[in-house]
Amino acid sequence: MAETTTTLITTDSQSPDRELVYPTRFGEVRLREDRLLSFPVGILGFPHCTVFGLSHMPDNSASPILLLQSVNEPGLSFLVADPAMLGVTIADADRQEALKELGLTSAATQLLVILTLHDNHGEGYFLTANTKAPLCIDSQSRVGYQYIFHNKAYSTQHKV
Amino acid sequence: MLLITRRPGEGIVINGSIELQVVEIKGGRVKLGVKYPKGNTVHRQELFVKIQEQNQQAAKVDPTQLNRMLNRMERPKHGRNDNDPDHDG
Repeated sequence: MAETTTTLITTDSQSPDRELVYPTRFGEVRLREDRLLSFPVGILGFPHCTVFGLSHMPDNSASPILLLQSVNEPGLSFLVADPAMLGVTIADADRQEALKELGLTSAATQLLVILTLHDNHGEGYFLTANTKAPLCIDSQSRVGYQYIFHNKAYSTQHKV
Repeated sequence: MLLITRRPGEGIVINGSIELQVVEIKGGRVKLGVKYPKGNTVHRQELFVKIQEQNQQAAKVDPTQLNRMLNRMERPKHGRNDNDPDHDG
């Protein structure tokens, strides 16, 4: 699972000359043009954003939190993570349902959940993951979709 | 918005591939049936809107706040917060 995430990473320190530089609010990310991810129908609420790059956090490459950077809209970036790395279980039946509806193959598909940071009434902050609508990305074709599970057990704000 | 009047059992076809049928009308509720090819998705509008709003909120995560949260997680918790706002009692 973690290995698949690695193959989705769009950055590549081996060939810095082939990278596009994006100054994001999280710091500078470098995306390789030939390894970008395509979202044919965008991400819900952002239908025009169809090309993204996946990068480690600029200031912490060891973090399970990754940065999904829009190429269409340089100011748009999401924090995402492999649900397994957050201790979140996605039931196999739901995963299979998503793959079947999207026409993706199991082995090559990586699920990522989008993260939101919340202010805990002035007592620090906490993160939630949208487990109801994960991103399903085929690591071979590098094509992804945001899929909404029919299973009501998942939440758009799953506390992690 | 295009308006079409249909009776139960009747339907419409969208893009030649998506069939939407009125199955039943009962007690102020309409039951719809949808047939659609793979790669398309159909959801109740309110769920769709909820996820759009969640994505919009997720796109606004503030890096300073994120770093504060991550630093707090890495460091052992300390008993007192020097920046604690004034409070009564």
